[in-house]
Amino acid sequence: MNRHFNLEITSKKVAVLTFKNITLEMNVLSEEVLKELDGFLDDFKGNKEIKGLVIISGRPDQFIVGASIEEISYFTSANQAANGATSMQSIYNKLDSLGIPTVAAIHGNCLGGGLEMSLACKWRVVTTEPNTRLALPEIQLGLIPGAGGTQRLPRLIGIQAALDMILTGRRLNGTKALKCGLADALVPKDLLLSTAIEFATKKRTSENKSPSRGFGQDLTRWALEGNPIGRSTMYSAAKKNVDEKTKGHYPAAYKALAAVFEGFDKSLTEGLKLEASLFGELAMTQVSQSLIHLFHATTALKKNPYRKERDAKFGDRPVSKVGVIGAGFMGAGIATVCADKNLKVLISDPSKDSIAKGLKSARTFFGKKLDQKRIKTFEASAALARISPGLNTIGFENTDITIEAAPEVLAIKQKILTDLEKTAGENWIFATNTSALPLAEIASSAKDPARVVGMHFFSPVEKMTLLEIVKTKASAPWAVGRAFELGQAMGKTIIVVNDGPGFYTTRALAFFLAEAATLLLEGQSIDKIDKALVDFGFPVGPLALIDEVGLDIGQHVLETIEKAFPERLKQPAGFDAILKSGRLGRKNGKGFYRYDSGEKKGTDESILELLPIQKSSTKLSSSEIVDRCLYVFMNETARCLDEGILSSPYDGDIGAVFGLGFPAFWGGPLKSIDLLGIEKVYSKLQNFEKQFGPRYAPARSIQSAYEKKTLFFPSEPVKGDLRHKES
Amino acid sequence: MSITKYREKTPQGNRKPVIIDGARSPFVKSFGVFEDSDSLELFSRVVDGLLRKVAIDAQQIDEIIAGVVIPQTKNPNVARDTILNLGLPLHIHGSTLNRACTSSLQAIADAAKTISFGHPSFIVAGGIEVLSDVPIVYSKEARKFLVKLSKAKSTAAKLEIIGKFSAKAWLPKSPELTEPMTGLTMGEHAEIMAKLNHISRRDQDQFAVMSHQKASKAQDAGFLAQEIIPIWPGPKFEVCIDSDNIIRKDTNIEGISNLKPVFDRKYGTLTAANSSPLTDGSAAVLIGDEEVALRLGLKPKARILDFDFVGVDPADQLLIGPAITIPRILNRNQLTLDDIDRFEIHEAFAAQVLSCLRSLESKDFAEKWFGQSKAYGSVPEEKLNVNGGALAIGHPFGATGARLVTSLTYELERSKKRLGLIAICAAGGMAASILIERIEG
Repeated sequence: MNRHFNLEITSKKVAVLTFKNITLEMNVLSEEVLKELDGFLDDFKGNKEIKGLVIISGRPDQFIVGASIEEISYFTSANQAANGATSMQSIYNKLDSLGIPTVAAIHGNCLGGGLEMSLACKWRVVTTEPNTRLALPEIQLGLIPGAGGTQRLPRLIGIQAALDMILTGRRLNGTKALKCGLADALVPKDLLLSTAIEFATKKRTSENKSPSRGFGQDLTRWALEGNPIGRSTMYSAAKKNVDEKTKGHYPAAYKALAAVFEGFDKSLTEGLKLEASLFGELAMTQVSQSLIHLFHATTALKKNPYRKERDAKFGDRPVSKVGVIGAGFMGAGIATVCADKNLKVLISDPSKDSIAKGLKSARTFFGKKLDQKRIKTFEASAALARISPGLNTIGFENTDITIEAAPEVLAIKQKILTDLEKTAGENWIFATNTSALPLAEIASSAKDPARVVGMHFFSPVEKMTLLEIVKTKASAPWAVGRAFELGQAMGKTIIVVNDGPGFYTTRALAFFLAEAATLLLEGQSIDKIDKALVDFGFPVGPLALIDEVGLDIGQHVLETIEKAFPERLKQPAGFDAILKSGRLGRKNGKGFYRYDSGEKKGTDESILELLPIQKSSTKLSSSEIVDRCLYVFMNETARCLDEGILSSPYDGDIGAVFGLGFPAFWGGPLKSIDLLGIEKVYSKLQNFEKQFGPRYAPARSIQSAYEKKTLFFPSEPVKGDLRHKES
Repeated sequence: MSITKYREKTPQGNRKPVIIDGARSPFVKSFGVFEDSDSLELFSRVVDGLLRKVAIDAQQIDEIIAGVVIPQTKNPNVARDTILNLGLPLHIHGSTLNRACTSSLQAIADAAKTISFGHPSFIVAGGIEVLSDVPIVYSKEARKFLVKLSKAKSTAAKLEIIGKFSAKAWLPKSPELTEPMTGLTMGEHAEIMAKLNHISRRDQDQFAVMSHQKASKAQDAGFLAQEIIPIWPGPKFEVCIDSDNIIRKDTNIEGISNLKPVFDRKYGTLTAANSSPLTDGSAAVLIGDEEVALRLGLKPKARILDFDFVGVDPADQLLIGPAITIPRILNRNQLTLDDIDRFEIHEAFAAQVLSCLRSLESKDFAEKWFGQSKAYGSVPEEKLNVNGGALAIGHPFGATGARLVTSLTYELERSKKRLGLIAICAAGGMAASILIERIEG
């Protein structure tokens, strides 16, 4: 029964196979789809009439987005996963050996298994549209391509170019695909089918090899890749690069190197066998499970939770004009990102200098893009022109949303809100960018608190993808939905949380940092603490992070959280003394570390003299240090879930990974609980509670998961041989 | 960028063109703070600031017109480029025109015509001049050489052309501000007028001092700031320019009477102080249909009642046009000088303003140009250029008309007066005037 494919034969006997996955909204390659394709291939093999084959998509904007991630997660053993890869490989092998010209007609995303299918065709025709993107993104899921990608791609475009795609998941547009030899023709969308049909009548011979094939024309490539010595040099360079980039945390990168380099020396059949077995191993790793978890989480959080309410109010009118109050580091970053995403943005600050600095930082951002040739001169000029600077808030009444990024002082924020509210239209929304001030108190000053929300951005806004949207009990769903829309337009990954002290991210971070400070007071060294957590996978250690954030801000945050949860969090003793001594962290070059013209220069042991450090303490091991910080992080996240600050476990993990630097290969604080095993987590929390106090008392949701033997993410069963069992 | 839905049916208005609001950049000395900027950036900032100031949805705007006298080769139609640069709705069209120093007045008059034709559109009319950044051209010979070289197909043909290369032809021509049809500079023409009308050096200096005093008073009172959009000039974005930098509070007659004449060094009376300086700046005014504006909740500030453009013999008195256009526009509207509450006569040179004023008071002039036996009359000093003029504030050619309209509109609003008249002289022997009436709000 043909369901996902439609076959037509042209007058010149070219078979045109149009693929449209009818059970899903996307062109995903499920087992069912592949089986159907296999049947068609068998038919073509026996049919001497057919002169050529074109595979094209029946969806307007998408070729094939890859294999089904759901199905990958069904595999419960490495063997099973390897077998899955092998059976997909054998279908593509059939396509590869069909004996007639075969063409992949690619428009839109052509990813993973979709690209691997194209690689098994003799020709690839791509379109010029910007949404045509070819990539092997498996690495982002902690996997490697398992259907021939690591074998056919290096043989087609060379090891170096293939490695780049396999190790980074980089997406190539049509022009780049043509240039590197991945594509054979680049055509406007309307000519895709006719060009592909033409190619389907041409045999691939040595005369019409694409220029990048073979080493003939490319001496450098030959020198590097055409001989074993060159290849071994390349391998060492690539391995070193992977070591640096992954710090050893991501096994898929190493397996990718193995598959590509070892496979290149073998026959295709042997290479494919190797690829399948490496793929199988990876599918069982904790890293891959974590990354697939984050993929599910991000996908789930792409849905605007208040879409209906937003649509009812605004219909098809997108957010187009944004106001930003305050041109400091945050405000300027927000304005820059808005301008980058084609939004008109008004920025206001009473200080001329502040505006100048803000515009300068925007100019630097677009200047860099210009230097990298990612935009043209006139585009940089237009992007800057989209930022409208001013010393007052004239014109802000006409913005869709005004984001206030003024200093973290309640009264200032309230005054800005009440002033703007006087002239603003009824659909106007006020979003405050605060990391710790109680939103409800800001909103309470408003005439209409329904249109007040929090939009907590992370610094630097241009780089950090997380946005934490905060709603109070009074926030209108349409306002939250509108803020969500803006966040998405800005390219952010968004969690929507309820108002509470420190919301989610600041609160979890406060407990994490306070624990690190407590460890310091217990006599552990700055170095040891930071190194333990960096080795665990955090981008910077907690004490270095306090320096980055600023000791004053850090203290303010800890104070806020202490006030809210005095039984669980105590501001570490001696922190006022540090502040009084004039240490502010990186911004004034003095903190837990020393800084020399902005560069971090090793720990500053003199800070220890200001702190009441216990003298006779035992030195903890790295893993004990990590556990102390990790468990308080996990537990507090679970508490946020219990209290409804977080509306789903996904929110907690995304917030921690994208906002707080929680290691992605652990999937987030809640996924970690699943991965570590609830028994272990529960008993360790109980132990810690006895030793260190109530901050470790297991959260309700952990208690219940322990009692009922359930997972935080029941749809993602934990499998394979996990890392924690080794330690 | 959002897709504009072209309006099938346009709203009906009363065809009365009104000034909704106006704005301008600070006017600054050329080769100064706007040196690294260009006309696209400066005009973009002013249009953006104007639209920010007026609470109008950009979808309502149909057109942007810019007056530029010395256009930059990068953006020959800076009005349209500004629309694209600012990301304004794409249906807005734009044109750039040149009528010398009356360019932006022409832009405003064109906008008014469009409204009175029944197009219920909103139009941004303004102008710009960045004299810091004028195109430097090569000689005709050098240009011919380059074009020929680029067209030559074979190497031999190229070599032949290169063989004819003349090094002298490559000296770039510095831009000249001479009248193409008289060969004299504007200043030399003003010298002629000073002599012809017996305008003394002292009168000129006195007038210039007054201009600075009035302007600096207006500056101190914050009147000028009302018109000004602060600019952070790129690409450095280091400083905020939020006020004019040519006005000198301490200008006095003693100080400037020692200056050497610049156009006629021997017998001349025109100096750097009684002539308007080279200036960078930009200004724009939003014009709309009165009824449509009110319907949208906008608050128009003034009505455009009429305008007049005129040419004179450039070889005679190049800049005398204001003395011709003022009687013409007043007569057409059955008004006399007495009916006008505020005058703005553009100050290219003190000698030129004073020549125009004397001519209006002259029986001979009335006889010669209008066949009238009686002099037209006097413009009372207390009604003339009350917030200073181009001598003090500066004169970015393309922007001056829009600045005067903005400034006069605000002045009528402040003084609660009714009628205002602007007259501007221009290169080529031309002049223009515009008559506006405050709308009580």
